Amino acid sequence: MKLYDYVLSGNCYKIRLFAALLGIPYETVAVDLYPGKEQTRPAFLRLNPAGTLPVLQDGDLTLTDSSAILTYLARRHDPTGQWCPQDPELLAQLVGWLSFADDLTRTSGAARLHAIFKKPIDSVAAQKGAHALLRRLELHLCDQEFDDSSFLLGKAPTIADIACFPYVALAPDGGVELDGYAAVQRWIYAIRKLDGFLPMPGIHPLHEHPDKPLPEGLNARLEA
Amino acid sequence: MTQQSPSPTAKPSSSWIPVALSAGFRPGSNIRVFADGNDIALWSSFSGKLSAWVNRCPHRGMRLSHGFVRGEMLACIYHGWHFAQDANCKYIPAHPELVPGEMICAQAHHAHEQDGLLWVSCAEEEPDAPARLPGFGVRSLLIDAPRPVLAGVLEVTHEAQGRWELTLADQPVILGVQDWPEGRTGVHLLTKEAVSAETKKMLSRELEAMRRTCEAIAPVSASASASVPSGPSSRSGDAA
Amino acid sequence: MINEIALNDWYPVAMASELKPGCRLNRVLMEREIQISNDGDKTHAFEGSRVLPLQIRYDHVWTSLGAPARPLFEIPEGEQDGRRLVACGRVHVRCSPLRAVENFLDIAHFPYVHTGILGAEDHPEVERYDVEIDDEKDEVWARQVKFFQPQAAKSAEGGIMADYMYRVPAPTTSILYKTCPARVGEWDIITLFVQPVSETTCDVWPWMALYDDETPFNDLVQFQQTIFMQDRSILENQIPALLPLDPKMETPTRADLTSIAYRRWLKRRRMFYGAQTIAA
Repeated sequence: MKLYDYVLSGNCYKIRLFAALLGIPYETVAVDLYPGKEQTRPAFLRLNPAGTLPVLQDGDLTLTDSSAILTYLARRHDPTGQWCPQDPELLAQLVGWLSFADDLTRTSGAARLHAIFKKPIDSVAAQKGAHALLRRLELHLCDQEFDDSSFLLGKAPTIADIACFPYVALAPDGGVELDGYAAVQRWIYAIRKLDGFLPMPGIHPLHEHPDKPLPEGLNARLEA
Repeated sequence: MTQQSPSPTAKPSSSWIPVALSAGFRPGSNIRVFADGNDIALWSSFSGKLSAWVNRCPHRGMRLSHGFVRGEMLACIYHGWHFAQDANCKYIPAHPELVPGEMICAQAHHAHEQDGLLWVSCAEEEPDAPARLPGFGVRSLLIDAPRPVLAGVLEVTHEAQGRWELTLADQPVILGVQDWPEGRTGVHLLTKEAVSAETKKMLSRELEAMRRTCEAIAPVSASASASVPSGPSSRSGDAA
Repeated sequence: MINEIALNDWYPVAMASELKPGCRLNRVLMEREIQISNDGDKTHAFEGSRVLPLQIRYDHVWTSLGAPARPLFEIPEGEQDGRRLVACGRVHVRCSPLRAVENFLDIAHFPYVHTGILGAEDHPEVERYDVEIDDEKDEVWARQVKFFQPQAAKSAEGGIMADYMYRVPAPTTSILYKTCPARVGEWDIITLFVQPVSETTCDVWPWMALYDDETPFNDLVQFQQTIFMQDRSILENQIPALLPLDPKMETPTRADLTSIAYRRWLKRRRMFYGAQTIAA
């Protein structure tokens, strides 16, 4: 399995994160999205006429949309069905959140591209759009907490969480601060705490994991 | 919010300010809050001890709210300096053997937990505890409107030290009220009695309806809900 | 305030590869809008109708708003045969250009900010190293810097004790000389060219000159972009945004000798653009 990847892309990170959580092996091909704009060149357009990343190739199958790739990987590699539930109600909600994740890309993701690479867009509108989505996410996550659930669809994470996570956690890169979204911050923590979690630039590994002891040198001194 | 420095004009008030709900603030939490215009790192140790510090590492100025909790200490994300409850630096990873002098320390405000709320005071002397008014936390909410707009919209029956008592959808509730920078207001909703998850969901929506009313009256400038990077780069159309 | 010292220096404003015939690039340098254009034959820089000095070196376009007091610094190793030259584009950061340079000179943050790549939490110690301000060259140098790194470069496998030298040839440029995994005895060169957009915002242009024929070009670029984007979230959260030159404002330790020398050198040269000279 081969992933055409750009290391700073939140949509590519969705696939890297999910593959890490499930322990799915794959190889990557780095595509020079910036500064090379390689996705606009003929060789890449033959692979994906949409000129977008990520692209996943598995045998004869080529997939070019991060939500499609997450769905494929979950159905292929997760026999428990946890990550992509088939219950009609849950599946319908899941599809709704995958769509919500694309809205996040268009707002929070766009604000980030403007802030980092000066992509010419209306950054203030993108930031406002991101805040409107974060408010909806906060409301939903509060509901979930009232039901003792930490994730979008219940007590266990699904590909809905993976799809929405990157452009929420990376929002501060684009000047969209997460202060004041208490439930969103707790949800980010719950995802970072998952076994096998993979960080990306702008999203730290969980340094505060309760299992991590104090540094050795300090412990020795405190005990002395 | 914008990358805001502590305002030099902020005057410390003598009272406690409610900055978050106890519910959901698990041991090991570390968040950025504002009190009296000050930028603050509010964190809880693994044993549950609460601290509120000036949001700035003394080493290289990094916001401590980006740091991480280890046991009873808060570590800065930049260089991993570990600070104990007394705000003194106990460990500098670049020099593991060094015992840092007492001059090396974070700056502490006062922190307090009571009645389902977390409180911060930036006063020099720790004020007396707020009057008792027990509550059960529902949720917090940030409103793009200043406090007087809320006061005009809500029918507050009683006011007590940073908290308003009122009726929301026939439920007697408590609202912790906190000023945020740029004319915004943070509110923390509690019920006076334990209620069901369904009631909490209903109240959560009522609170959002109240927010819509407030924001329709006093739309805060675009910069408050979407921070605008400073400097000419953001308006120069610098697009190669 | 833009003082003469800042005005008269050279700054990067574009990659040479961006100079397509007929192109017109709009840039902001120290709050002033400038244009870079290429007429198919030659490249020009303007501020309004005023022609600015211009030169193309190290894969980047350099200009100045004033009359440059000295020539652009030399990086002789960067022009040796057999090296791969890698321009990584630019990253915009909401921080002082001087904070961006200082962070690049710092190794003590590797275990926490570049965890598992440039540093590891169980190897955080910074050993003694040598720092000098070279008065003759008017540069800051740090030598004999050693640090444990889990993955020092894209081409490195497994942890090594990496040897570093740092050189600051201009207030907004830092050059790192680093153990070369592919060629014993040679130094890989990794630079940070910084374009001051304002006192609290900058564009950063990382550039590398490496002995590495194996690693795909895109992997080299993305390795460097990974590292710098990890730094960016730090740089945008330092208070104050300006680099404090008052020693009482921040608390350095022995690991920060390069940063101490850098601040002292800035003060001595009276380079205050992006600096806080009086404690708030």
